Amino acid sequence: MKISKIKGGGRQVELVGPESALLHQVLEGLTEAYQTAPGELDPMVANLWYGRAGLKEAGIRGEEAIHWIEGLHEVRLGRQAALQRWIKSLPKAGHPGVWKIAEEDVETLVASLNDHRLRRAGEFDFGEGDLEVKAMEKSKGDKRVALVEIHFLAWLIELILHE
Amino acid sequence: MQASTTTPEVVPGQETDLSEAFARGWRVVVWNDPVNLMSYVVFVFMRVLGFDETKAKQHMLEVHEQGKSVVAVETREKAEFYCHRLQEFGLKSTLEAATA
Repeated sequence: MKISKIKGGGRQVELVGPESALLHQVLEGLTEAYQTAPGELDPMVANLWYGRAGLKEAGIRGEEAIHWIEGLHEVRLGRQAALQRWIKSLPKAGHPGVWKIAEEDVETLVASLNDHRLRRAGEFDFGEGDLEVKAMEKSKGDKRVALVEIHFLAWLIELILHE
Repeated sequence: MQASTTTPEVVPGQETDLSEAFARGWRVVVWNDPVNLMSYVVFVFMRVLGFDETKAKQHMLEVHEQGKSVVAVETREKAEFYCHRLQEFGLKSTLEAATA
């Protein structure tokens, strides 16, 4: 993967086949997860995206707490159009190619990719030790797939933020 | 457009609520978590709280090393706004009364 700044803003990402396949998987998975109501999500994921920690103590209870969580869900639902745009602009799954991201999409893209990392970590209840590269090398099956996604997206986020 | 000349009516007892609402008495706290990248946290602090890079890095390191950082002390409304925005970006944030 190689990333460069487009003249006038935005980013251009050169992807190899497996990277485009993985990004399709990530963005399609996010589309579905964002459409899912907070109460129907995996509880560990819901806790990371729509956590209620501290609300009660801050006096945010009942209707107000519901409104707070709904607001967080609405923000994520609002990313749907961008997600569809990115899926369309990605090279075909499994094919190498260039992916262009508009400057105004950078913030939402980074937040969405980070959400996917949180989601995958929540699904497997990963802690600090699980997220070390050594742990990924030793892992197997679905856990390994989740860790590969988490590390790949960390790399992509770092490249986008530093370019 | 004409300016209103009506004096707002203040109901006794509401004065305390009003002063509480406008006092910078609420802390926005960001908590450490194992997943969010350091660079991402810096990016979010800059975007949401308007910090410059140095200040954003200082608060990120405080979160990382001490488990939490108070990133703002604000009025209730503004503190709620910041706390919600930080959660929209996937950061663990809470509100605390500054007197607590």
